Amino acid sequence: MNPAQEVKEPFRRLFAPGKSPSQGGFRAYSKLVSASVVVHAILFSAAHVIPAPQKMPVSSTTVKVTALTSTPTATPLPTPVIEKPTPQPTQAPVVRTPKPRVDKRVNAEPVPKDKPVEVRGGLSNSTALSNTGKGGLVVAEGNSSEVAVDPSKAGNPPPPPAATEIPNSETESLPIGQVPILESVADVPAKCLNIPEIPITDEAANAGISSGMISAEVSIDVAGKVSDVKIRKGLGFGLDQAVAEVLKKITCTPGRVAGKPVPIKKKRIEINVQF
Amino acid sequence: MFNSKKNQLVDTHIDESNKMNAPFHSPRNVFFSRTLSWSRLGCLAFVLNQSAHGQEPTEATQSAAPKVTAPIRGKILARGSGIPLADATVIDVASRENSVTTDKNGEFEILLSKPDGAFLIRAQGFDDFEVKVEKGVAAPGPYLMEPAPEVISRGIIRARRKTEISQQSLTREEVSRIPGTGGDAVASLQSLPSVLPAGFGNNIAVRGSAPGDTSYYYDKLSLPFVFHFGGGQTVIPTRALDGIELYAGGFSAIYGDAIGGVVQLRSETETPQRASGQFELGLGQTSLYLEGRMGEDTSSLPQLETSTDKPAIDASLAAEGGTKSATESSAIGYRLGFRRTYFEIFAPIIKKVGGDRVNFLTLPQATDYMGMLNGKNAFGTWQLYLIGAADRMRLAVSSDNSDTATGKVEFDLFSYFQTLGLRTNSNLGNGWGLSLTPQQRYFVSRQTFFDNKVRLSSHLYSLDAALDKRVNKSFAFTVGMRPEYELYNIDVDAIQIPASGPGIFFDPDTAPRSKEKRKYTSSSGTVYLDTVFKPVNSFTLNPGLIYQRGRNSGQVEIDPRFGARLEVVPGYTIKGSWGYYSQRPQPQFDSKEYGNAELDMERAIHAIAGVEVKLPENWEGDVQVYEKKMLNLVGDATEEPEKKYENNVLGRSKGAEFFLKSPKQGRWYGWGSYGYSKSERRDPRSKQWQLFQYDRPHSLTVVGSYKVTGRWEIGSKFKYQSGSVFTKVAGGKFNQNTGGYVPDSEGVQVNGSRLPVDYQLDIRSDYDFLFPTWKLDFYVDIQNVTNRENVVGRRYSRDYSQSVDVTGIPILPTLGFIASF
Repeated sequence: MNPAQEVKEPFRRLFAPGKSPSQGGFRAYSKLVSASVVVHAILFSAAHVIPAPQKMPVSSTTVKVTALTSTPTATPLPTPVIEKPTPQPTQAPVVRTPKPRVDKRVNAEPVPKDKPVEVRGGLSNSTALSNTGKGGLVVAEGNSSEVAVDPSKAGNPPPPPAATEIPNSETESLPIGQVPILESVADVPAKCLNIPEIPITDEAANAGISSGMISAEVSIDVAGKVSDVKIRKGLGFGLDQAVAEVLKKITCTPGRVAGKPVPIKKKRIEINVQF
Repeated sequence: MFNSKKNQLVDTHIDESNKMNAPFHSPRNVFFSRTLSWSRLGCLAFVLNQSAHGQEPTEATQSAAPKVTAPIRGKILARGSGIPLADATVIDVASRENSVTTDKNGEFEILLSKPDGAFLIRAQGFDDFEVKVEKGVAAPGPYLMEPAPEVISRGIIRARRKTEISQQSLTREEVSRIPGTGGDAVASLQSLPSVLPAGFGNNIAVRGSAPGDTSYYYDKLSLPFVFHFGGGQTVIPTRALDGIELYAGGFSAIYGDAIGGVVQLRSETETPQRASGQFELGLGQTSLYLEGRMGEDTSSLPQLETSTDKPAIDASLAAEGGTKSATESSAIGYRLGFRRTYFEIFAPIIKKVGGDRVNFLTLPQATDYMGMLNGKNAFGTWQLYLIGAADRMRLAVSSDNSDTATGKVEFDLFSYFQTLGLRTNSNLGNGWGLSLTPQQRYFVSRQTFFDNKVRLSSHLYSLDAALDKRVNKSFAFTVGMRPEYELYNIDVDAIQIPASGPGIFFDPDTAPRSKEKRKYTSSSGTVYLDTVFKPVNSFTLNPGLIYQRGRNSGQVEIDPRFGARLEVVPGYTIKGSWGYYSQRPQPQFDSKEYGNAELDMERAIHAIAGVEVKLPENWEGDVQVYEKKMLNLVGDATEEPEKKYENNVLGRSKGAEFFLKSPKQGRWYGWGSYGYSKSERRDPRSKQWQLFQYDRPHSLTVVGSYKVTGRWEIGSKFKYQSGSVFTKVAGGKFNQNTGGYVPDSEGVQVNGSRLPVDYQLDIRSDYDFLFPTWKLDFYVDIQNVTNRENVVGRRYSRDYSQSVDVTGIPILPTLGFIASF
């Protein structure tokens, strides 16, 4: 046995224990390769015979396209109609004392036009804008822009809700406190941290998509359930639908105002395509 | 037809907005949204949500506050880039129910409830920003938003069809600021478990394999070398990467010609959204990177909306329309990069310091460049690449024992490659996908050391083709091939280098010499079948088969591979793989004259078992044990010395790896890894197993980065690892023929001793100076903060009677500026 054969011997034994090369060690290896081919053939055949696994039931999806392109006629800028609000008692909100970081230059003389305003920071994201009804949240006059809370008004009952000029029977029938608001004006924003990892679609994988981002807007009710999903920026190849399907099923922590959960609209969620 | 549909939807949108105009329980819930303006010229949507309700309903307010009639207009930009911020919310501080959102140009218009007050700008990923208003006049914009320190939590679409059994993925954001790497993304690989340093710089030894056993790909392009100077910085700019994957072993049949690991560098498939660039000025190098797009703006694409309580308009049409419109973008992205080192400018200083002892003609010089175009069409994506890199290192040092005409020791190294490639990925429908990557590559290497000369050039033409098919929900397969045709031009007149490298017993004065000068061609390639069988959702079986043919007719192997994953409970997956792996010997070993043209392919068997765990807060854990056997490795010929090299070396390695990673979320991210390994080689002469030259049993790495503010990020990396092995000799013998000493090999165990453990702490600080439209990143990267004298080798005196430890780099601060726009 030459050294080269001797070197290979232990590995041949992996497939043909106790056999030397002359006894068919490599024949055994060849058998293994052949067996592998057979296994592939069996699996291929089995794939056609065995029914596909039951997929999780997917509720029917209502899909529509909203085109954000120009229209032939521009809609004139409407003048907002402000009506005298109708008093209606509500629960007194929790008053917080935000400490905004505001660049003093903002409060200085007006900056010449077209020159960027030099501001570093402002209210932190965790800053709560407290609704104190009669001016519980006030902005100090003069050059100071520190947001302060008027303690004398903090405990006052909140103002009555405003009436609107345009009636809407559907909304009017909604229970009080269930009209969706923008997340950015809530005390505590809604949080959707449990978005499951979304597998790529075959179409997208075939198309070579391995990066990019999908931007979605969702509405979240007081229970944290997602009621509306709108894809603001998509990637196509079935990914937008896949994202919408997943987002519809997640449960978020609802936004809060004055400690109470409120429905949130237009919450933006970004989904990264990541290898 | 589509316009009418659009109009209909616009009306729907208005109706939805009007729903907000109802009585409210709280003024905070009052919204009044209307579609105000549509710009036809710009084909842009301008939807202005304006709230006019919720004024402070106090009598004083009602009676004393003057009427506000003029709206405030403004524009909101991101500080540091000048990007308009769409969907930012502008809130009337006096009545926060009164708010609007910015359009895609970052513009807004709001009618405040009071002439003297303020409005607050709030945008995702930025600090809040309050603007004072006096007498209905606000400081004019644009308003620049300061980035927030917290990283926005995002969902993930996992772009891979399947997860390999041993796979570590790192994004560019995660690796671009790792301490001690100089911002080089690929250098971060050494912080992964069982990835050990191998030789110089960033070269790696994966699970007991030699550095050359690991293949590197940029997308599907094969690169002749990845690191400058055989281990320096990566030839691909970090900005041109979207991420890195390391397959440390057990990879499926779609990867061939590697018995160690596979490093997959990936580019971005999306076209850049805007023109941007980066200019880096460092002490030793400068780089420039530009990217942008040519063509339409995809932000005018239709939206896809799903709702559980709205009637379907035309689901199928919407789905198709959304998909096609999103993919039939005519925009073409471009990415351009250039980098060059200029260590040579320090030559005068070095000369002055070194005096007569040093006579530098030039210092190491590296250049690389890349140009890339990419885009989408109705079928998929495409990328066109042009990548090149060159290394030069040429010096002449005075030496007493030089026998060259100049009387100096000559050392001249030049390597250069340029490759042109095109990758297309097409979704053919009905589950079929086709990927094609033709590539042309030119490579030249010239080396001169003393009187040894090596000239090698090659032209490579290859085609990587893969056809994917999903048969049904439980079965999919990929069949592919990669034929290669190479034209070589070799001119060698050099001593024979041992297969394992010039070790301590290598004597260049007595080494045999070879000459070879010829042109030849070779054809090689791989054909593979990879299948994914999923009988139930929680179980995946991944068998594959790959046929490989090397440069000669004897180099033919068929490798079966199997992988399996079972999700026992959600988030807890056990996995395992087993398979054969083959690779062609290094070109110098199986060349006709210099090497042995009859060499077989080198092979290995990988066996892996492991557990993957998804932890709360998106943490990930991975534990693996592995065993690897290597056979047919090329060694110095022992049976027939005239053949120079033979497949006579065996190898084996085994180990365990632990990996825990927190993704980039909130203010910090990081990972920790620990690997235990043992790797050996069997000497073909003594038949004894010896420790492999890159063996290090223990390796622990902890990487962390914390964002102190939106502008300032600090990070640290701690690495602890066993010392490397070395061969300890007691003395030397004098050789009268050569006039030199050779180490006494009597009773010496090769790689039988180990250097002391080494550990190193690196820190890095990045501070972004933000300007209205660009930013300047000032970084300080300090390697070996504790200035620990890690022993990296042992050097002997001329007669081998004495030895001295060679220590690694001392504390080494690096400063640099990166300007981005």
